[in-house]
Amino acid sequence: MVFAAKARRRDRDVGSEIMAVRQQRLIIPRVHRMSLALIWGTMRSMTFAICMLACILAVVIAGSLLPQDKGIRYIYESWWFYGLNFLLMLSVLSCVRGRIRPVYRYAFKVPVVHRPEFYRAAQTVQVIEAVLPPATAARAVVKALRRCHYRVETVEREGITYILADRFRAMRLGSLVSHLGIVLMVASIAWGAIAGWLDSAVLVEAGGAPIAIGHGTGLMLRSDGFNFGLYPDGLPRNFRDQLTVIEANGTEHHDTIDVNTPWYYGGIFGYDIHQASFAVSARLIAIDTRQSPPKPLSYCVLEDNTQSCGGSDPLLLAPLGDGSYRPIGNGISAFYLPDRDLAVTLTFHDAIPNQKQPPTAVVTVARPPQKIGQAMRILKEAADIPVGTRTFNGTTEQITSTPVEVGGVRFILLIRRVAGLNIGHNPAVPFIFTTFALILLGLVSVLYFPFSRLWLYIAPDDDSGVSSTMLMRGSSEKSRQGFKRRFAEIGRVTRRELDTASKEFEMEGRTS
Amino acid sequence: MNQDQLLHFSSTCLFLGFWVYALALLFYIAHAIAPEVRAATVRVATGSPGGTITLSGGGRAEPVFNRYRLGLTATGLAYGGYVLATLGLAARWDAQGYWPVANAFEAPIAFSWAIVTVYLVAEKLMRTRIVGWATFLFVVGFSGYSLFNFGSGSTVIDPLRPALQSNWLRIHVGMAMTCYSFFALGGALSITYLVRSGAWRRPHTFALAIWPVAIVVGILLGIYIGRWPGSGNALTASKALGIACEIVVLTAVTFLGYKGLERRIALEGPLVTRAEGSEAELLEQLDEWSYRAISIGLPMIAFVLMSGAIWAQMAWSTFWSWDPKEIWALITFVYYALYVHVRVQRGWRGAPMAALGMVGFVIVIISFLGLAYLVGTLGIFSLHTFGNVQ
Repeated sequence: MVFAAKARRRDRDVGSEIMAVRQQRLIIPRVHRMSLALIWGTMRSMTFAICMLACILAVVIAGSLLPQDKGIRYIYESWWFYGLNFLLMLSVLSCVRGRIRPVYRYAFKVPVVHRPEFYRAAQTVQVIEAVLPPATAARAVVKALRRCHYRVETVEREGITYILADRFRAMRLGSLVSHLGIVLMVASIAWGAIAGWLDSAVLVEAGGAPIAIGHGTGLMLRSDGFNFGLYPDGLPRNFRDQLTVIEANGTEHHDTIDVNTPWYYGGIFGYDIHQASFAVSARLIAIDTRQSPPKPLSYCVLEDNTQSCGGSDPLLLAPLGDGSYRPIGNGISAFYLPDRDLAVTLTFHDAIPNQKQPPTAVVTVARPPQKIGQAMRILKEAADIPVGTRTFNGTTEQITSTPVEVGGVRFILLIRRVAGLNIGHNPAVPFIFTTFALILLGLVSVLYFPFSRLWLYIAPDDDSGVSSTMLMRGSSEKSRQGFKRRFAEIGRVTRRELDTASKEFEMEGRTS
Repeated sequence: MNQDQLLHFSSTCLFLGFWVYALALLFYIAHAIAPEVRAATVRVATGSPGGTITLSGGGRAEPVFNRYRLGLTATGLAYGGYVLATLGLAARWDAQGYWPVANAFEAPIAFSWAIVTVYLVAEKLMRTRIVGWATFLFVVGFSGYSLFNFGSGSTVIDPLRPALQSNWLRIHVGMAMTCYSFFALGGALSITYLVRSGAWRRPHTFALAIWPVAIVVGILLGIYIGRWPGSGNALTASKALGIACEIVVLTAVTFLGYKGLERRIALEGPLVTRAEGSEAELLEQLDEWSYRAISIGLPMIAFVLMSGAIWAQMAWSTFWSWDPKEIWALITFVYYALYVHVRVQRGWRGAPMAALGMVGFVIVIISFLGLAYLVGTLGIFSLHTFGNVQ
């Protein structure tokens, strides 16, 4: 008994939160139970949520002003940033959970009958007198309130009519909906991050080999054509890729994508393929003219201080080693011919229609330094080499129309554009869209449709029952001033309706 | 008209509109500080029934430009400037074929146009012009910033980048302009509240707000000025030191300027001559209108974030990339959500809310314009820098 009384007292001290823990019939030691209750109580408090929010705001402000690299400052992918967000979501969830029942009861389970003091105590109150019996007056009032778009409930008890009227009561749930939407959105995003993936891929325009999408999909992707339009000043207007997805059984599906029109292959739960970027891929043909017949020389590709020697085969993509590729030359390509100890750089310029400039290339052939401290010796620099087109195996290629010759080597540049694609799979996308709708629905309902409520008390003035007095009390959560005006307007409409009703009542009396 | 003629017409209208706005601002300021003269109407028995003689100010002649007329002129000028700005933007839209909201020249102009649209409707609904001065401070500030900083862009068309060629440009940016305009109106109402109530001179309200505002102003100006001596976008040690010094100096200048103004006002009396009788009610109205403007804008900025996320998913294959612009839009949303929470849940009213509303608009300014400079100066990568701001 004593123990139970102590426990009850302690529960009261700690707060009602511990009751929730006890109801779950958890067998937890007393001290731990109190700690849990404290933690739960802290999580449920709005102050905690606001503090968490302030912390996260401070962190993201700092993150937005510091250059984010992969070091310690890369905060958005750090475990502690995830932890802060997790705590915030837990706090919002516990706040919402604690408020579901009170908000529901406040909106839908409100008593209609109150004592007269309840009406008089309000700040927004009106006293209306009518020369009508209470029942008739109540009918007129109900009519007036409905005209003002209020939902009305009436209770008659001991000759007194009690009226409860409200507007947009369901909208009161909006705050719960929007908060729940935020939590679900974060959960969906987290799920998408775990279950989904996003890769980048590079496809050479028409004629390139298909690439595997990977991730166990068994799908291959091929570009059947890559076009891009240019503005008169040479900037890209848009790029468009004609793609083919090849399934494991060989079935082909075709679609065209551009920057704002991805291909949702397999529907919303499938894979999305986005047009992300474009680049230029170059292939060098270095022909040794001293030999008879002339034959291509082998060369190495220089990329980011690394060198890969692939011979004289056409080379458009450099393997990165992780199954992906990058185009050789993003506007500029560098090659090295070990047999002749020559370095070659190639730059390609797109056409600029308004300056009537055709596509051109710049080729520089140089002798690399032999000793430390020695500079590279340029042997030949050929600028503005016109670039023409030719058809090769049924596809159009751009090619330098004037070969550059240096020391018995003839250099020809082949140019192809490549499309950079993003291929992803995110099963949470439809859920994220749904949570967006929930958040908006909640915000719009709670902020654009303010909930207001009226209570009316209609009692006879005396025993004769021919006149009545009514007290009208109003409340609104959001717009105090606006509601004051609205309340006054409702009073006017009610009085007007009562006047009409009393005239009719008088007429009926005379007739009878 | 051909494209060049349209662009020149647009440029002329926008510059003219700016000067008309500036004139409207002067009249709005005059309207705000002019004493409210109550006409003493004495009914005298004349030959004709209802004949009256109006005496004002104890027998002194009523000034030609009294408070009412000043306000009326200000509103007339605001409408005039609005028509010119509308023509200018419409001509530019026609010339380039897409909404003029895509670069550093167009965005502030379109923003100031949206603020005026929202303000003129609000002026009609509120039936008062006392907020005009603060609103037109923003309008003149934004349009002047654009016209005099990027004026050469007024007759040039920037090609629209591939990612921007989408209907989402209109939906996302259009909604952003609208919601920021409501926040601007909320900010203007808050400032007006602080000035009229005298709360801005009381240490417990404004002194709290002046420090963050001074620091933000100092940082923004410091970084803006700090761009000049530096080279490129990299943040070098000497450049950072220069910026830090400028921040300190400008913060001090802003704060001391405020203190000087405060002292001057304390010596010479209140800045605003109050209307008789209804001041408390007016302040309550200002407080509520400010809240209403912000609560209209809050769902809109949520929509802006969401539409931006959907657009980013389509164009860049990711909803969210922690881009500085995205982050600051999120900060703006969270800040105003907190504003609504403290009002509805904690019951805050009056000066603290007005201070919050004012700081909120500072955040909007950082998010909308200041960020472009921060990004450029600090060498942070961003996908949203309005093209040619650097």
